[in-house]
Amino acid sequence: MTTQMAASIVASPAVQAEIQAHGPLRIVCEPVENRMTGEILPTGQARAYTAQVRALLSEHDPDLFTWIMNRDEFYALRQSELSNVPLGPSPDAINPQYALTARFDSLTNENNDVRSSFYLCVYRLTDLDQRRELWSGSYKVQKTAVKGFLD
Amino acid sequence: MNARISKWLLAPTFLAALVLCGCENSAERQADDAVTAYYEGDFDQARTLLEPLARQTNGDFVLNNARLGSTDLVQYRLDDAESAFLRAYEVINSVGVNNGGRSLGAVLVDEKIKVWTGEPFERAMVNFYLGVIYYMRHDYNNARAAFENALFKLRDYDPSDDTKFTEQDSNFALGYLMLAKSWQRLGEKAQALFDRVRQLRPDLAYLADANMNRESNLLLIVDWGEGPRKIKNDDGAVVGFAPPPYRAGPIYLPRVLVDGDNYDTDDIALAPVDTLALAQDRRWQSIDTIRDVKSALGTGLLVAGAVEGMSNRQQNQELGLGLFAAGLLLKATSQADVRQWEMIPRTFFVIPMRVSPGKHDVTIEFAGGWRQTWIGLIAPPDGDDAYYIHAGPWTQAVQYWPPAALNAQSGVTATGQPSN
Repeated sequence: MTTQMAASIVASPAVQAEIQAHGPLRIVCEPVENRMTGEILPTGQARAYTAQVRALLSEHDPDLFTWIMNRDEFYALRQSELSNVPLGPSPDAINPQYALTARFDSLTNENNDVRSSFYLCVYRLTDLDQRRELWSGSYKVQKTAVKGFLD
Repeated sequence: MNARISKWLLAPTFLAALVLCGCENSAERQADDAVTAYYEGDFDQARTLLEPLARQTNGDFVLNNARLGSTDLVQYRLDDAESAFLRAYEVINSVGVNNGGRSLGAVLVDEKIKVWTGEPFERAMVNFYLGVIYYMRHDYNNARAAFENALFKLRDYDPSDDTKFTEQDSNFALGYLMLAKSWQRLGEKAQALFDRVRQLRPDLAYLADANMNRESNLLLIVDWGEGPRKIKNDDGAVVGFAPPPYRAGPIYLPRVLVDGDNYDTDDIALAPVDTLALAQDRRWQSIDTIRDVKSALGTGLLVAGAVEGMSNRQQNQELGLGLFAAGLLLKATSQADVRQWEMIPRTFFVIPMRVSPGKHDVTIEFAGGWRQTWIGLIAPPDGDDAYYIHAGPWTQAVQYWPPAALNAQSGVTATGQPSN
């Protein structure tokens, strides 16, 4: 998914124009917003997810993009035991101009027989000064679980 | 011939005797001791006993984590309570945890072989507690998700229509109320949910008033009383919950004092749920029918075995012995699973209050003499800070905010604000 995202971001005309005008983009990865129906996204998992996405995105076109963790999650993760995910440059050392936000939505239904969820992950790259959207992408996943005899 | 028959009969009789004796293992005894410690107000001891049990991935994994979560929450060990309830939540939301040998074992041998995932109201309560923890942390998105999930767990089919399975939304007013409050704190669609509370429980009209809730800056969530107890009938095959609400008596309403002055709670300190009533909605499951049939067959075989056994002919006596042993085995393996989450209270009061921003001493009193004062609860100028109060027996009369356990954990700082 991050490979597709990175390719899609770099192919965006608005992003290209911004790179042409201002040089490489400094982008902060904001915390994931959980809008899923009936699904908890624990803080630790949400932070780990952001760190993983940042790390994977930073593997693509490092000369065009600098991906930075948001300050709160950066320091929280640094204190935790999640040392195998690179956190990237310190958010205090680089002033970001752009933000990548992620919002997870889901339509979930549960009854005595099944639990089904349709997930939608929407990412947006915006200009922090003018709140102008440069790029957006969405990814969909569907999951259905049929309950058993004693579920 | 006789020796061979005896060997065949010995095995089921021994198995039946084993099951019938209800042998309690050391883990079950430890859990029982933890529940006793909880009700005696010795939460540290309860935690010490439950913590190792909650790490064992056996059939009681969900149950012991639910018990541990309850114990940690009343001590304001919010991180630990969240972790425990999340472990239970993950299994409850999974499907197929009892597939394969466990289902077969539960049907043929003993229902306790199955992984305990609780009755619908117990599953709803795991989600409700998670929602409360997230609400206290101002993590309204996760609170919303947890309360939504609590409502999913209490969805049912419309009992008024036997001809088709029409889904019916939950009537869990407490879940709707907290869901409405969470959405309201997110600045979004809450009116329809407050309306739903009023529709379900017209007596909660003021408690479900959107403006009053928006203005409140101090929220008390008070648990009170003892929840339902799982019981078997004389035969041991049919399970139910006791006592019914009419036998347990009325729910006492709390009185709240802020800095020594009475705070008018006439229209808000009402019980939005009675778990004794909620438990009476227990769904009859396929395994209940299997147990019932096994028990009835077992009784029949015991009677037939006794009749044959009284015969003068040796062949009939042997047949009678065989029938008797088979009946005993069926009776023994038809015993209902009465594992349950004992810490669920009878009700939760949700008391939204508006007080001047700053620190306050808040006292909660119940008829019968229970009284607790919290020194230094913080009411913020905007939004609300929520406090969980356990009105159980043997709790301390005076508590200081923030509790010692909270200081050692992340989640909420001494000022009541989230630390992250």
